[in-house]
Amino acid sequence: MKAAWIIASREFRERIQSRYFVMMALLGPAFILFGLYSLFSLSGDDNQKLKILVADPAGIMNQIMTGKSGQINYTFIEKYVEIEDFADAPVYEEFDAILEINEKVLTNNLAFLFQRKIISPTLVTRIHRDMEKRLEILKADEFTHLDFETFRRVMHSVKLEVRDAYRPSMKNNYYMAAYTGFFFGALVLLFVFTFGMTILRSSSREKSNRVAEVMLSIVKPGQLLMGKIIGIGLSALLQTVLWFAGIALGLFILRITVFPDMFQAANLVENDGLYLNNSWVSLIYDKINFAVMLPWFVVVFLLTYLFYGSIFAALGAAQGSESDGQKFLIPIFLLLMMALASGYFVIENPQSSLSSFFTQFPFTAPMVIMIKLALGIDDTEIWSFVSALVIMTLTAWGFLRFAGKIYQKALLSNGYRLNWKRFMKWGLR
Amino acid sequence: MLEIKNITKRFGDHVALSNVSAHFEAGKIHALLGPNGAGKTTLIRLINQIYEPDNGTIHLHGKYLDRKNLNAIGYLPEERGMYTTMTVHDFLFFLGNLRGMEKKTIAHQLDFWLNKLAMLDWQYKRIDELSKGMAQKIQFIATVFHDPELLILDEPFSGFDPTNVQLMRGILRELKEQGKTIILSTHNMNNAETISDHITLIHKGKIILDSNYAAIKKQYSQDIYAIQFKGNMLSFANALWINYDLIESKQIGDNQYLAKVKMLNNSQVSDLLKALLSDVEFEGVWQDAPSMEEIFIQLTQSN
Repeated sequence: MKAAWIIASREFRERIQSRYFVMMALLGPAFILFGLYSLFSLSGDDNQKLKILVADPAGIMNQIMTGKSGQINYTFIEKYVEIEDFADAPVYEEFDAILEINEKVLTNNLAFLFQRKIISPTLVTRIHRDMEKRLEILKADEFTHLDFETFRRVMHSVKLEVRDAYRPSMKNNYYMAAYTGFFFGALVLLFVFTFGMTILRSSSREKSNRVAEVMLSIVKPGQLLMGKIIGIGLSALLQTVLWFAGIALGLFILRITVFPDMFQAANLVENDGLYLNNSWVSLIYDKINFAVMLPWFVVVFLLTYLFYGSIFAALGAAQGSESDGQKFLIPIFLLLMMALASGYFVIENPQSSLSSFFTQFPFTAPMVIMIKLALGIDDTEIWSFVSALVIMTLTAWGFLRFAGKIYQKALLSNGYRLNWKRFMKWGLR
Repeated sequence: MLEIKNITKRFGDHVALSNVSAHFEAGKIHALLGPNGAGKTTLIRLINQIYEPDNGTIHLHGKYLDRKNLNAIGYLPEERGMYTTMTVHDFLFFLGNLRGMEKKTIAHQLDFWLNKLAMLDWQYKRIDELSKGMAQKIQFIATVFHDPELLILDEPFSGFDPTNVQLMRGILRELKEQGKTIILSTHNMNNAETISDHITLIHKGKIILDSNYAAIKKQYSQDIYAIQFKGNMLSFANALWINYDLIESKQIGDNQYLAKVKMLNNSQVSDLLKALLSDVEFEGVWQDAPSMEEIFIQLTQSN
């Protein structure tokens, strides 16, 4: 084991001294912070004021549509406006969109909104709701004898809050929690793929420049493999820590510079909780349980890295030429894509039998486990969670053995084209 | 010292070594010869425990050779590989650590060998900044600096200029005098001939010649002598009788000739010289033994 550590230490030093590692440590968090800042800013767009021109020649809306929050300001004209005119005429420049209300809207239930720039789905829903309310009043007037106030009471809307039966006091925000897990799962896969490729290139280079023969005359193939996987894995872990530290620092700086009044008590009261009800700000600064997510991220990352890393190492050692490696990378890439897709599937169909399969299947388990952790694992799911971790551990062990055999047989073999038959024969016998 | 007994190694259907046995005596330089694909590298990798034999055993000092003995071996592969982004110092320290050497010992040995091979000024340079010859020297240091008793050197002179070849030969002789056993795998027959005590020739996975250099020379010399003389060629030819066979002659100067004569029926060259002494003036007489290259070609073609 000492030899494996010495090799790991060399691999680790080589990685962290490379320009690529430093660039990745700086640019990765910067890229994510930029993305988060954009999300904060874009979701702040929900608070922008919109000016909508309502072209209503039949006077159906009767000038009584009002944006409840004051975000949407409607201006009514009782004539048609050609869309070309709206787009080009200076007189309409001040409007962000035109809502075209045809006189047939009461029968065909169809209206058009022509926008100059993309309006957020939240605001579109609000315009939609404002229209519907007005049409409901017209229908009520036509078919009932209720006055407006009575009708509104009949049409009373109910907000349905979904909560966890075991934690009834906690507000349940399923999608936000699930996609937080998805993000962590995707980060695991991103790091595993990036550093898996490093293992592949490193193994392949040692084979082609013949340093492997020098090494194998001193250490066992298994020690060389373990040293490489551990060393590169530690550098990946350091990269992860640097990313999280960089992102945490960046978020802190954003909080004290861009959103300095975010958590001031007065603002919290005024804004019913968090900064301008910005769901992304709320998610990042308040809802993600980093104390749970980060340690589990490390555990899941290590297990995923071990078995994917073994495959990458085996492939690097087995490839007869560079094109061999590329050919064999496609299935691995597809597996990683499948892991991402499985995350989406599990979020949408959490109770399906395919979701249970994805939880246990070691290639998709990393993504699903992170989602489940973000959602919270209840007593009924503990055994499924434990068995998924056990299967991942056993698979990692199996793949390490497989890769060890390939290292022994393939690292000093040259002058062939790799095919599946040869690959499996080396790994299994 | 190193005993190889009935080793067989197959790769799929291909038999790389078939029932090979050889003995490598301590304190000698052994040339391991053979054409490409003969099985030399396979045999070397088996000794280095990189491969495991299908049959047979390898013994070092009478005990089974296993991975614990790897520190007793220094191996210089034919196709050199190093971590080129490391410095010379870091690379050699890394290998020393892997071999379990103490830091003090590594530092001492590095100092000694880098100085001996005039590489001390280059120790903090990256390996990819070195010339091919310099990189070869670093590889050689990596092979010997842990003071192994058995050195296996695959084409150790390739890439060196004549001055450095001379230097390396000198170092190998010094190591031999210190009692090291050296196995030298090479295609360069001149090098094999110049410094080897023992020749092992592998061909198609089998050992077809395994003997000391002097005995091989004697075995293949066929008792032919080259005689350089001044005088008359006709007189020289007439003086030969039934026990001597003139196989080749040529004029090399004014009344100056070089003749090759084969001794027949256990006749001695001294008797021939006595018989010819009155007819010609001798300038030189030597045994005309075939070169290792000629023996190599003769043996590999006949097999």
